[in-house]
Amino acid sequence: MEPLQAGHPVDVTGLLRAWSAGDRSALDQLAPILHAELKRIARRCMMRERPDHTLQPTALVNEAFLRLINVQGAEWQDRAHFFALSAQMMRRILVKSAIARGASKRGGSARKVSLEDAVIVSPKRDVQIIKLDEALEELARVDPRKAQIVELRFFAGMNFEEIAAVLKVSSRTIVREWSVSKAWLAREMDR
Amino acid sequence: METDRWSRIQQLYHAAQELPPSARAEFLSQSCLNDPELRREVESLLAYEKQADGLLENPEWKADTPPETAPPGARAMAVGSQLGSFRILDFLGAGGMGEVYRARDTRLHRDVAIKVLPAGLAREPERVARFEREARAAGALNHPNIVAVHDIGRDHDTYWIATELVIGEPLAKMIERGPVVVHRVLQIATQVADGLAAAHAAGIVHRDLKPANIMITRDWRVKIVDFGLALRQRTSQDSTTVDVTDEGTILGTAGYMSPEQVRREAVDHRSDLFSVGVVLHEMCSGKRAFPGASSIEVMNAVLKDQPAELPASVPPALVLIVRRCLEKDPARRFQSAADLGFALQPSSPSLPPAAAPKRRTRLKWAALAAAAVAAVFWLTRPLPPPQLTATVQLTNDGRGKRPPWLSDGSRIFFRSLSAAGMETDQVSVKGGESIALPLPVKNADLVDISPDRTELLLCPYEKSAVPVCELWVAPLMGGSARRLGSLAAQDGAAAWSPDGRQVVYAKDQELHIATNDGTEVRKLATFSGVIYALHWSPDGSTVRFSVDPGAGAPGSLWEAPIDGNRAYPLLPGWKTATYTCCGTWTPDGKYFVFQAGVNGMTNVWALREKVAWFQRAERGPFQLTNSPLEMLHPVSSPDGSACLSTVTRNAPSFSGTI
Repeated sequence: MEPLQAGHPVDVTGLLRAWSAGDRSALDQLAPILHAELKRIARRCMMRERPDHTLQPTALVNEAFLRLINVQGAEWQDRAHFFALSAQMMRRILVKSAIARGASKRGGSARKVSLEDAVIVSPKRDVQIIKLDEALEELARVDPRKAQIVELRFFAGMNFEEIAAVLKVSSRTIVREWSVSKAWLAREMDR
Repeated sequence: METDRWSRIQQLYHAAQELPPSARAEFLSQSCLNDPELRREVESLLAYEKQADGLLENPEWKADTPPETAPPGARAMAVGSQLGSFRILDFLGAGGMGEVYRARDTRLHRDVAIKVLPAGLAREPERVARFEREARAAGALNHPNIVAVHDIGRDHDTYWIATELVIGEPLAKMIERGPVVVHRVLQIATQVADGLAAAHAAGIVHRDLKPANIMITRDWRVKIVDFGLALRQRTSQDSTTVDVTDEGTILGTAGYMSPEQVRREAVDHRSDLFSVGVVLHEMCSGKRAFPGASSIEVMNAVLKDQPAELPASVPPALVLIVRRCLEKDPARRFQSAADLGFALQPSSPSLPPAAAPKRRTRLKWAALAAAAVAAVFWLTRPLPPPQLTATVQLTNDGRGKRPPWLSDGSRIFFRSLSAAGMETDQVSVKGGESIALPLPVKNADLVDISPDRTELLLCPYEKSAVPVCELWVAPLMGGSARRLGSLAAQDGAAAWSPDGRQVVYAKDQELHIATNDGTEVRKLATFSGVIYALHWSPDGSTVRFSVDPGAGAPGSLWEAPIDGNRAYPLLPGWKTATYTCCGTWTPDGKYFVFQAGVNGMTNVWALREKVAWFQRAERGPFQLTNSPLEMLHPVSSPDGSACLSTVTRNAPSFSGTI
């Protein structure tokens, strides 16, 4: 793939449409664009505007959607697919930045940080995200679809109908699976 | 795990979920007759059913959404129903923490008040904990001025507290009818102080004292109710910290909170004494001591303002007592409720019968001499620290806004999130409705406003992955946009010089300067990190900006003089803030205002830039805002030294004047 140039606009909405219609190569073009945009927005929110405050992954994904996609031209299914793709990326971005800040699963800090550094982000949240990531990994081994449901709902804020559309099952099924996944994850994270 | 077994576990889990908790054990023992392992697995999942809600449905970053409460009319208990040994007789009222009923104690044949935590809240562990805390806190006290707790219980999902039934009315109702006469004020306040002294002696701080929580019986006895926010203080024997509120949650009622509560600092019993002061003030005046249209205004008033003067009919000694309770600094208040109670005694030496104060008429010469000395001191006095003199809430549309903001003196421009996408909006600097700003360039971030306030510098983000955007200039009054040479800036970091003839911009971790037509480009400095929030000083000598070093390290403010090629951190030794960013000058160049994170709160601070040679002045930084909300990206308005900050989450914006 050729590197993207500034001033060389890419029709993200068209790529998204093509991908949700089954064109795999469209995803190859779409993914790096989306990833860069999510990272940019996340970095902007986490590091700059409110570094010591909580961030809302779902709001970030929503903003990326508003910025990248021609809202009038996008169908409801396109939105679902966009969010599905973003969920995965958002998860990776959040986990990576939590690790970068030195959080570890055990709730302490991997590296010594001064008191000033430690309050920059909520260490509680970092630890939670890393634990959730590991528990999700575990859940994916047992039941991949459930892990995906959690990812879509937690990291992209999708509603049950949208998740159902992406996974092509009934929303009733999603509701039930979400419920048992939550309990499973909470137990796993408590271990 | 085998797929079959996992589906069996889920099947049983869902089936058990449909059943009331009491029937689950029976169901599971029937279903898992020869498989104790299966039963354990399902039971352990069920045990995490509720806990999981707190984690995934309501993670920390969603904690600021208001809790859902039952719709009005939907009451938890029907008249005639039974809770423990109590029969519900009557609905008395509802508060934030539950519904209150009159009930009959069928064993002891007396009437009691029963407070029930609504079922919706009973699913939230924090609410239940707070509810139980109330019972334990008040239950630990036995004092005529504190409502007595008889019993506490749980019936399935219903949590309840049975307390003494107080026949009377809340002080709030009494005040609605106007100021309370002075001797009643003293009578009520003395009892409140007595009740509090007992609570404090038991190590309990009320934290939500207000007229609505002070019941007055028909024979003028006071009962303090609602210990739902009460906090057991740490005692010397008890070394574990009792952290009862979540970080970031403000508990209490805005107008009656102490400054330390508003600031979310540690509170002790002296916080209650501040609240007593507010109540006293309200009793004497009939009006709220810290009024305001929104809770942010009220909280701001609690932190900064002195309440209005009390009416002349209030004895001076009582005025002094109220003032002493309302000291912003706990160390300057009464140090105990007992001290306050003593001061309120009619026989107290500090509260003589009302009399006109004696006029001092002596030593005119000494006064004149003192005045002369004072004049010299006044001229060479240390400059007082800058303060915000007023704040205005600009918008209240609930829409997220994206910094930076720009101002032309009469309007403020900003990017705002709507259902249809991001758009550029404008609002009057006096506040009001925000409306769309039509611009010839679509999908552009705001960068800067020209010194003559007629043009905007814009950075249209193409739908592409590169965080570099072309710089465009668009007239505010309509007309077509022009490209600024072939210049492009990283993340929209660019600014005009004060004469409008040059621009400074960041690209590839470098700062460059070019003329306003995009020619004569020269490099100013290089950084490791992303440069953003770039501003040119009003005197043209220097630029300041924020640097994000990446990898989660905190960002900070930097300065680079225009005539050199060196750059240095602006506040190298300042350890108070965890990060600093997003600063700008006031138009007169007297102050540099910026955003800083201190103690987990984001506020606006100021540095003093110019001082006359004969004046003594500290440079700062001085804290300008002290808000529980996030005060971001100050912008200065060109027509004076106005400073604006706003909040992204709940989206109101504020402006203030230094």
